[in-house]
Amino acid sequence: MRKILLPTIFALLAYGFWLSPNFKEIASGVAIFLFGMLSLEEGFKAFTGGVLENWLRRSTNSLSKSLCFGFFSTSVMQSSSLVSVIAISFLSAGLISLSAGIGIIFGANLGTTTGAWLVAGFGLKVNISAYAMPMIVFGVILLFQKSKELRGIGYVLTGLGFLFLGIHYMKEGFEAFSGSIDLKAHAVEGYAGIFLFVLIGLVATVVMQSSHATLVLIITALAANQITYENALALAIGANVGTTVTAILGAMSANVEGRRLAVAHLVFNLVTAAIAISLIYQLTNIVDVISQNIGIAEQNYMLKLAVFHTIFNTIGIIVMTPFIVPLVGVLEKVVKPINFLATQSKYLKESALDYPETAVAAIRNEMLRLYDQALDIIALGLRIKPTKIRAQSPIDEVVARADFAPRVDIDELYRESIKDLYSMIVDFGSKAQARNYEVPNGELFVLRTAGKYMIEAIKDTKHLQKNLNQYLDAENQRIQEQYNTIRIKLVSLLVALERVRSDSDDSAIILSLDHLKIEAHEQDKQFDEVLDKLIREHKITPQMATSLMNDKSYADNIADKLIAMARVLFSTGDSMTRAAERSMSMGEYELGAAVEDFEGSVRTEKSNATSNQGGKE
Amino acid sequence: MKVKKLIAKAHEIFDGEHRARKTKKKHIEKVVKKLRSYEKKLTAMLDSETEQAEIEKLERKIALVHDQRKHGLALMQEFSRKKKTEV
Repeated sequence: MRKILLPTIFALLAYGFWLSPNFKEIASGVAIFLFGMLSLEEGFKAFTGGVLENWLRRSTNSLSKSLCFGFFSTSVMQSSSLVSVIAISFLSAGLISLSAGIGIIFGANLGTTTGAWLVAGFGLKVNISAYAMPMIVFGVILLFQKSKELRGIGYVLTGLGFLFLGIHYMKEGFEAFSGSIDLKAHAVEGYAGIFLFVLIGLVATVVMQSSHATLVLIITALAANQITYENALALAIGANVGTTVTAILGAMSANVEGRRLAVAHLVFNLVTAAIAISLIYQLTNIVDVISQNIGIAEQNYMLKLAVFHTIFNTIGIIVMTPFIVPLVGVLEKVVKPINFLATQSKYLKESALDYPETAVAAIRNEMLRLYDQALDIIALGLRIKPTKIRAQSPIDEVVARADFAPRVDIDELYRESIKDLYSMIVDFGSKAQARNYEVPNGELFVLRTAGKYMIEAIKDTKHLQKNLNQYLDAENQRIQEQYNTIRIKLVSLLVALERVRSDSDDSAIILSLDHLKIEAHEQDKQFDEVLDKLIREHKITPQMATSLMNDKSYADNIADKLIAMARVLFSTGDSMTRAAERSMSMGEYELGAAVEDFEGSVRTEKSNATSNQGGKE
Repeated sequence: MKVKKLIAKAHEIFDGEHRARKTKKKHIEKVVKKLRSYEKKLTAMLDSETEQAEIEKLERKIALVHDQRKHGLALMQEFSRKKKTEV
């Protein structure tokens, strides 16, 4: 079917072009218009590096803000399909909530009506092709610039230029058409006509993948008197339903949240269409009254169509907004998630690869799931129950002998719960890298390194586990105590990391990870002193001492790697904030200097205090 | 506005690097502010703490936050200096 579809379309179009030069002009107008939209989308994508992410974060924390975001972004980008696909991608990557996504989609439906106003009020009255040419020239010059932003502006300008040019050709084509053929003669009256034209509008939008293009086509045809006003209204309703197809196609590669949003979009547009069809004659009367009040001439059907388009989408929002919460509930019941095994990816979907922010967020979220597995393995390797760490229980309780977890085979656990998911993350990261989009602040590389640290921490736990298991059950009390000290050190760290993770929206908390490093350094010193004493006093054998020294080194590595990983993974700020946190975090040398400074000041304080006391005596 | 100023302004708009530096500075400033309020919070905790070990721990934390904040301020100054040398 697919194989013959494209040649058939080409053949039909070629026959149409041969038959009528006017049809050729209209079709080329549509093609140029669609090309303009693609260029416009490309232009706005250039600005998605961080800006869109920040904007989305700030403007989707309440329903009204989500609606406004949907409305304004669609008005500016002139594409509800693009906004819907962005919303689905961001939702799939876990950057926004489902209700926020629904708000954006509802707002986008209203935003798309601005297109009708622009074309009906400005596009057909002014000779816009005169503006199109300079826009294309300036735009193309900007396309050759180095700066990403300037190239983005170039795409937007050329996009707008081609949109204008497309409208111009459609207008010319229909005007010439009206001289030879009267399509109005084929108008169908009554509800039969309404349903027929709703269907035509729907199919046209599905084919062109743009309700905006369909709407422009309707308005230009209406301006050339080629369709009746009533049929134009029905076409506009059909275009509104047809636009959901783009979102549904976009949701196919998304996760369950993305699919729920696409269904919400479809429900909204179907309900709105049902209301508009059933009340079409009453709505026409309302349009007449409003048009009269705002000074639209009685015969200006293009602007009246824009009024109608705005009214029925506004009614949709008024009717559907109170039902967003129940709708979310129904969608969660009806569109069920696949029960993800821990080893299956939840966020690594093709749709997340569309934008750098969504790709980064998908990898981060998936790595956090991987960390959950890694935490289990590391805890079990230390014979600790992971639930106790997650509950942030007191350390004494976590490491208590009575609560020892059974011995585990780390290699087997790694193969079962880490390897596959980690491979998927690495593969997804490579795909994102291959897209060559500008990922802000080298986030992909930073995330990949964090993943590597996590895996290395597991491997080090495996090395540590061998002697740990042996000496925790040893008869020599001293060596048992020392291995328990290593456990306590790592458990304290894991619990502290859990605390940081639960409070990760604060940059100061993320930076407090440096303090954990300082604490680890100090414990090192104490450990060395105790070890020297134990060897000197022959409390442990030299073999035990070397094992202990090696295992202490493994424990230090685990701590260092987990802290470095947490710094990257746990921060929930935007990419720029994360980069700022990284740049302000202390390096090894700086941390060492800070410790020495602090110890120096403590020593001075103590000696001052002693000399003061001596003086007093 | 003088022509020189106008050119400088246009340069600022079209210079991607300058804009990136400005955004970085803004975000570092945001983190510095958070560190300042965290430092205050820790100082308040220190005032009400009586246990010596905890006092030392808090003092160390405050010293670290202070250093991080100073580091952030130094970065911000560096950004401002770069801007001046460009102008």
